[in-house]
Amino acid sequence: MRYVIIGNSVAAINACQGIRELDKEGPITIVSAEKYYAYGRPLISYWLEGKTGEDKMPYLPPDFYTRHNINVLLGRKALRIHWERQEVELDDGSRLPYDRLLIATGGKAIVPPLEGLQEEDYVTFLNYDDARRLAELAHPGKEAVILGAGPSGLKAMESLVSRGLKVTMVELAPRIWSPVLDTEAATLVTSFLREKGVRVILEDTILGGSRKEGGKLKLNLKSGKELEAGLLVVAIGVRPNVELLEQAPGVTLKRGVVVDEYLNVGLPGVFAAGDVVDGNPPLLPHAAAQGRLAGRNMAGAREKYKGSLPYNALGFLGLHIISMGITNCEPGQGYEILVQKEENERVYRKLVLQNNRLIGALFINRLERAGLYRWLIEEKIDVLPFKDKLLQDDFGFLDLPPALWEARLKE
Amino acid sequence: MYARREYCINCHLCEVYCVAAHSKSRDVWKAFKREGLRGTHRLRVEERRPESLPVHCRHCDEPQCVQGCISGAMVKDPETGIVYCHEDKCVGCWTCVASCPYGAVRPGYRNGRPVALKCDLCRDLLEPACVAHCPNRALVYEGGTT
Amino acid sequence: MSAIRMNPPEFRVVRDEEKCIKCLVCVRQCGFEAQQYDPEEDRVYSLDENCVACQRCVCLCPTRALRIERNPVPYKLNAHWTPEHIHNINKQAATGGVLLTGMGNDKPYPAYFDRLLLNASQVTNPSIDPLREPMELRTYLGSRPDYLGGEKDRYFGPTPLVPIETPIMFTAISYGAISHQAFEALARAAKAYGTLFNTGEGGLPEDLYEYADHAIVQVASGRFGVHSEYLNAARVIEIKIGQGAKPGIGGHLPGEKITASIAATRMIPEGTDALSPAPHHDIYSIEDLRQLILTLKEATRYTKPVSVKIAAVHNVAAIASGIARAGADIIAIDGFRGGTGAAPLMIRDHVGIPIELAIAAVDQRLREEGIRNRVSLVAAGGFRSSADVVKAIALGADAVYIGTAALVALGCHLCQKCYTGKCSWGIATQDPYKTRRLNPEIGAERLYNLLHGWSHEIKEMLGGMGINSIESLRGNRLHLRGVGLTEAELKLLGVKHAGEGM
Repeated sequence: MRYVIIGNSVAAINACQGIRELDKEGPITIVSAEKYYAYGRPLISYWLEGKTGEDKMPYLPPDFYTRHNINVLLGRKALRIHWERQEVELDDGSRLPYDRLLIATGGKAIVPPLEGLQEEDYVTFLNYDDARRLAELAHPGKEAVILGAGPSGLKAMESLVSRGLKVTMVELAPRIWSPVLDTEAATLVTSFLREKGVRVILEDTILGGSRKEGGKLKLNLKSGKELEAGLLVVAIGVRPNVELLEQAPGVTLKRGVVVDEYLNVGLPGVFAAGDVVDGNPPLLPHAAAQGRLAGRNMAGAREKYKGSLPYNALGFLGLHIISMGITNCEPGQGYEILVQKEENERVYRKLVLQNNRLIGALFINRLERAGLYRWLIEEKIDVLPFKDKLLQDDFGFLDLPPALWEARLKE
Repeated sequence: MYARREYCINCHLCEVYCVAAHSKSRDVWKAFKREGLRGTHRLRVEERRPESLPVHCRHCDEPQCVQGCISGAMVKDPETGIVYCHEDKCVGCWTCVASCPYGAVRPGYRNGRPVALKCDLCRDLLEPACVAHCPNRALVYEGGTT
Repeated sequence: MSAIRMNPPEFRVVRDEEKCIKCLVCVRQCGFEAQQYDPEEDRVYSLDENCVACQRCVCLCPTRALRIERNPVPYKLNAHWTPEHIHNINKQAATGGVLLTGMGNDKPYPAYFDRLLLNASQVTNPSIDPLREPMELRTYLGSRPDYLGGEKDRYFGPTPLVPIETPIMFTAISYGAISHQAFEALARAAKAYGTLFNTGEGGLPEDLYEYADHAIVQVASGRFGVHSEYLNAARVIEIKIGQGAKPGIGGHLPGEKITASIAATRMIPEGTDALSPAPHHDIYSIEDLRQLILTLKEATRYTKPVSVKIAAVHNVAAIASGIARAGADIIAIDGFRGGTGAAPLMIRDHVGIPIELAIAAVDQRLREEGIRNRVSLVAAGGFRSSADVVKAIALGADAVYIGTAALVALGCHLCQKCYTGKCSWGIATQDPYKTRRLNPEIGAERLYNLLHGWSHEIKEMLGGMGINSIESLRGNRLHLRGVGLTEAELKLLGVKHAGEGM
């Protein structure tokens, strides 16, 4: 069995591991457009900040590929796929035949129309090369504007602030990271950012701009305001990278590629995993889980992908957030909200319940045992018997009926 | 490794010796007084008097902390089955904290860096320190396999 | 009530701040709230007046940062008015109550065991190496016939002899006085070693019936937990008349300690006080006692020897004679050093006689009356070592009960606060936060080790005397010599003074 994997990030690597769990022999070829061995994408901000080094970027030890008989083609792009011949055509003209193919091409940074600005006038914040470009541009004292105050915008902000830049964030929504943070949480985080010297502009966006003399950018905002910047980062999100699948027979493309429960795209032997998949949250744990399962199914298993609720851990400038499930909703409409606040410590913990089941949780600055809540969510456990204990600081198994956990802890 | 909670006496000595076993000196006093490692235990004792319960990593077959790790620091040793964290590689994003269904990975701080604190079954010792030092044999280690 | 705390703390906690790592194990483990933590100040401190010197914190502190000291009391020296008397008067002046205490008499009365020395073989008779030659410690408890075949003469028929692999048994300590965990440890160790434990007067918990074959079950004045199955499951039945720590008075287990399980075992309502009357209300004479002995034997079809336990008191020899004649198979005599979970201090410290004298007197009396064969004699009350055991057997005992020594093996440090129910070691408490501190598995191992160690030492001592069986030592007072004893004491003990030959 010949395996070809297009993409070389977390989904791809986990697919290799999944394949090797069942098939120790079949040659695997990874086609990597980037010229780096696989690294966790979220690491780029840590690298940019100097919190991790180049040597620690690789997701796996260097001998992983050789040990598992995996051939990695770095800096090689797949141009198109010849579906009937089961071949991938590469940018050097060569063709790679496959029996099983994984599309793990991830996502592309979304860049809105920016009138008057060229590609070299801004930087996206998605991959290692973006971070390297930023490292060259981000000099202390420079003024940076970041478009988008979601997770990647916030991480970019952290890196730039810690490199000594003056940062302004521009966010179209009425609050930062609006899908996850409710008004109160966003206010807490925003005030923290402002205290750290970050300027946050809400309900506004950048329409375009121009480069002035001396290299500075003048940015025009929707509100009519103008901003000056030495550096512009665009971080408003990612879009699944489905180019290779356009016009593939039998394949449905929505926002991403539609897969069945086995992660097959609708063509024999062709699977997809990670951010490229429609409906999959663009989050690392989910890409890893999908990748591994896709790998196993490529190697002959027939396992269904169950999926899990989106969850995310995000920290910047010493503030830490963990979110899971549905967090941004107000009481009413069948939701019950439990909240704990400690304003001095900037602690905010919020649980969202529906029919006595936990469906979401948001933790700011007090994260201990967050995973326990995720378990309650994933297992749809009735929390009525211990609802009043849920937000105790030392909430744990002993607050739960032993039937729920005793056997699990002895396995 | 598992706990016989009926014998857990809430002394938290498992935590104390866990800290020491993961210190440079391997000495309780030095770990606390010189290396500043107070609070860096990897297992935790839950407390609801009269009950108490040591909770530690289960070294899952399909560890979600490994799956969620953004840096590749969290790994499962294919031979021993031990799930552990390469602390020099960990960047402290805390995805593992959110991942672990047992709440057994702790957000911590060591050697001036944020690192995920998690049980490694004292890989280089014959027996995990918590088990060896439990005064009431509340922790049981049936070594080797997981 | 006066707000002045009249009594200075008896102990003080000395914490070496340099060694302390503030792990708080002391705070969590102290059963008496003497160890405290103030999170605001991040300070571990002590309330010395609460400290009972049970040593729990000292033993668990990982850096050995703790020491308990006697708090020096700077009263004007007074040989008559000791600090203890002053403190006791203060306590009673405050409460109007009876002074309570736990464990055994701690006053400096003479310990005759410490005035008796053993013999050893030299030249003319060979000593025996127990590691090379057989050495018999097995002891049979029960009534022997007056002559071979004499069993048939007995009006009420014989009961079987009960073998124990070492002449050491665990004394009566009830479930209720001690935790289930401690009780279970005793039962497990007795079974593992092939000896017996004693249920005390609190019955046998249902989940421990697997150990009943190694149980002496008590029938006491409160009749707690006595039922047909209990009697028939046991190996030996013991009628408890008295107890060395508190001769002449009954018992009182307060309602707080009567948990659901203890209530079920004792067959009384949960949370009610368990009161053991001072006398059995159906026993006012040897004849009454005989009736109860025979009732119990009838109830068990003469398959269980019956023991009668009394406290060592002034007239013990005559009482023992009566008990033997009443049909008892075993007489257990509990000396004034015997322990208890709770006793009035005055009773504990001022009533009863030493076990050494009682054993000697009873053995002598029964021999003189020609009825020594009818009973086994079990001595109890303050046995601290295998040497004490050997000396008691040489004085005339068949076997001994150990209680305090067994509890020490389980962690007891003799703080004497059993009556508070706060035992930090999980022994004399029913508080589920503390009872779990005693893992019965570990407890049973430690008790087994103790029995093993003592038994080995007994073999060594026997071998030294040129004896290869414990039976040959029983009542063999020629192997004992007194040191520094008066004529009267030597006569009562039936031993010669050291220096005198055979």
